Amino acid sequence: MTSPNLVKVSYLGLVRNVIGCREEEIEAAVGTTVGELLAKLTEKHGEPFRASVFRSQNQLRATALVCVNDCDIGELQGFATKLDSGEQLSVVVGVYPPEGG
Amino acid sequence: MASPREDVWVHSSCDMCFAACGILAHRVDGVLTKIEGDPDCPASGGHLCAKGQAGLIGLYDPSRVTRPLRRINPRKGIGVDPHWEEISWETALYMLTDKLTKVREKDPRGLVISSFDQIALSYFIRPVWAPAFGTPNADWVGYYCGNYLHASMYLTNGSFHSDFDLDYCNYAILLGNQQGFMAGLNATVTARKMADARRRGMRVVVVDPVGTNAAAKADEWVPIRPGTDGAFILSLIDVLLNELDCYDRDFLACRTNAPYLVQEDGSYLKADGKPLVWNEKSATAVPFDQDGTQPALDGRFVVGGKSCRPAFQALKEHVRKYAPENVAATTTVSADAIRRIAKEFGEAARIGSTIVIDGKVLPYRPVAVNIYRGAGAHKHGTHTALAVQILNMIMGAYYVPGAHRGPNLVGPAGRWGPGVNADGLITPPSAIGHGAKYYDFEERKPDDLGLHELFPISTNRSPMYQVNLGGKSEFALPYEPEVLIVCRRNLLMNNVNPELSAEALRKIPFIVSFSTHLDEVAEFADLVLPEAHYLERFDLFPNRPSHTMSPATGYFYWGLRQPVVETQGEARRWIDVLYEVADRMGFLGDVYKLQNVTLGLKDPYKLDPEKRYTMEEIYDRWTMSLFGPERGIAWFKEHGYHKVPRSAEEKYPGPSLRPRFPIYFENMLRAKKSVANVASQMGIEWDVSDYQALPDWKPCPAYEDGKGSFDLYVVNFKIPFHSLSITTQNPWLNDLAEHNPYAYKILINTETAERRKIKDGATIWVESEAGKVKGEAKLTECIHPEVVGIAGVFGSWAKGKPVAKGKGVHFNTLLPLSKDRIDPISTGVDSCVRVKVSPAV
Repeated sequence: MTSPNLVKVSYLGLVRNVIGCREEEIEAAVGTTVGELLAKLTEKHGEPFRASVFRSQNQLRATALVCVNDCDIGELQGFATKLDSGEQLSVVVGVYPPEGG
Repeated sequence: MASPREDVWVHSSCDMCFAACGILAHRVDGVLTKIEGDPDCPASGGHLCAKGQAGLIGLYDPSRVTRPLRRINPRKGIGVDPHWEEISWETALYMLTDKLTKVREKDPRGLVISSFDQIALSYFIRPVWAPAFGTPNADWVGYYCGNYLHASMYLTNGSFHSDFDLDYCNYAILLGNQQGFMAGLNATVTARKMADARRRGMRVVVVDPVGTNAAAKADEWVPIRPGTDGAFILSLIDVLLNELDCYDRDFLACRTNAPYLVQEDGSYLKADGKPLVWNEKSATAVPFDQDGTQPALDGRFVVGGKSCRPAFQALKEHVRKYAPENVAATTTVSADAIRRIAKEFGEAARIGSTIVIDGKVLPYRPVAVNIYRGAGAHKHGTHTALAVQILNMIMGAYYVPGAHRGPNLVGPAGRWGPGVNADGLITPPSAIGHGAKYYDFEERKPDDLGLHELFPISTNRSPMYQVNLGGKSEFALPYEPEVLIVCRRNLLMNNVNPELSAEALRKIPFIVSFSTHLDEVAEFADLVLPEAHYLERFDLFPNRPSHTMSPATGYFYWGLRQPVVETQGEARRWIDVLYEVADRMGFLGDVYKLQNVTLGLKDPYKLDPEKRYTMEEIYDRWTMSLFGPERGIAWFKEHGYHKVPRSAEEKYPGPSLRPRFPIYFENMLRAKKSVANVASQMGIEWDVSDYQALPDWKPCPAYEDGKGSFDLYVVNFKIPFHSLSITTQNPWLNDLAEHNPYAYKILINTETAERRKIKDGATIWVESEAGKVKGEAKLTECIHPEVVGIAGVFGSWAKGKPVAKGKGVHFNTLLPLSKDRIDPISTGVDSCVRVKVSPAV
């Protein structure tokens, strides 16, 4: 019997204000997409998580970033990015970054 | 005489203003003896201004803070002695960690960070440390320098700044700014290029209420009434479009949204989600991106029963009300002068001409109108900035030789470039404007002090921090500010009236100031921590390739600021201290994880959250991750710069870009609805009338204030040898200011003064509704007759700045602050203020 594939999920930045953990391991079959895993996380952590990360079902907030192995999914296949064995997901919520005085 | 044991020149970067010129620092036996411009640095080319050279004496200022200090006197106020007590760093770190731990446990949003240390803010605080701590309130920055400007540039040129090409420009209008006269991006480079351009015959027209340094050297100075720049520019557009029929048709049709059909309600006419244009070939409406189209710019059409017209037609009709005769009385610029300048500008644009550069045939539009702070530091400043950009665009003077440009829309070898939205319009590269989502708005109640969702087309909402903190806030955030960390940001000197700022600061129970001096804001602190001088510290890439580096340098380049001498006393870099506090509080691992993402660190250079790194080790990993193992921090220390020459396409990317530029701001109409919805959710009344598809000139509140003896305007202007308030304590620069006839004085027009029996050198009061200042009158014809002018950020009062204390006049004392005195789009503070002037007896 093979052990289940576990994806390590890190919560970074302001999303930590609304959920109770810094990181966790989520069971997800190899080939699970980022979108599917995020749906699982939304179900687990509920409305505060959804409101912190998402604008709509398929759209992240301007301040949110999702990375696979520290690479922005926007530079991969977005929500369709498939997760391989041992990969790590980071959910980052920052601040509106454009600067200026 | 024995030879010195050590005699070295060290590569580093200046930090006396944000230009960050490369320097060579001469150190003899551990003592800094001279600073010169680094000939190898594209930002300085071996030149250095007075501020940069004077950095030396500031390093050895005996009034620097060198030990941590704890406040004993609980009472806080302007002029109140804090009764400092020296403490150890360990005690200071214990106090800071304890306070931050408590606020983080209660609600991390209660931590507020205020700084204008752009390197620390951009790389370490805003994207990393603050989010890891859990606060969105890390952006209490400037109040009126670029608030209106940066958002307008993101929207119209996709970059952070306004710049223009001095290598080929033949006619420049400087609207309330002094680019090329030791101000703005890469000041020393552009000053030399400006001199070369003038020698070549370039005409410079300075439009400014004050005969500034730039105006004094210009071909023409146009003294304009403060706050009316928008009317002047819209009038130039009217003359060019409706009288001279002078515009770049091809550029507008193919490179902008000028042909997009707009309906009566101002929205685009669309089919299948795409804006339509009227194809003159087929006499039908077709998608804007259909090949082989000949789009109409003029006329009115009916499509599917809907009345519509091209955006350009809407613009032409919109600006008719700004005919020169209609704006002459407002601006005090004659109709003849407006017509002449418009004609000169239009002719100098050489519409239709090309030039060959590096073997490439490029459009040649050698004209630009340039803005920075002055023209837009008004209630409706965003409108002025958008009008300026429209003027550049109708000439086709956009990202081509001689023309307006943003500094770094494209990166080296395609490393970054602009995005494009569904309407085909430009969006900022993620490397520059990630988060500048100006076409798509989130309608939710804001939870940050800047109230982002109420200002969706803005870069920085600092004034709202103070509006939230001062008086009784109507915005009802679900937490209270508990701790303020401030570094390199004088909230008393550089904001508005200091009493208003003091009221805001008194609302915050615990203030930590990282300070080189016991300045005005440090006097409100509970804990003062000695901050390292820029000649004692590390900063990687202080002149950022994405934001602050003008293409005028000819390169993309990466350099560093490194310590050139030992640190005095116990001073430390504030980032180092905050990273140590993060370690003590247990979130440094999260900081490192965020750093891996935000810096894009690649294996094997990623930071291990379980390990601990010095800042120099982080920099080493960052440089090697970017440039390979042979370009670590040791290489940069020795060589100074990694340079990549810019190709012609990287200097002039206009012809090779896919996205179009907006001359019509349909997104503003959607922003209007979004802001109204957010305000409704918040249960507040909110003025959304400034969200318009085309800009207008609207009077500042000051135009209503001219009652009784409040019959003059006051304006602030920049002099080239001072930068904000940070340079005022420098003895050499103080010496320059004392010998300058204008720096520490109050400028008043000679005739205006004589009517009031004010003599040159007399002491006078200048009073606004917010406050009053006293100073020496300088009578001059180089100022608009309705205006008094006060330079820089002088008039310090802190005991810890003995050189600056009592020198010059503090302009900002005269500025009020309320939500009615800010630009409702950008939050830029209106600096157009009515005053009365009287002799001091």
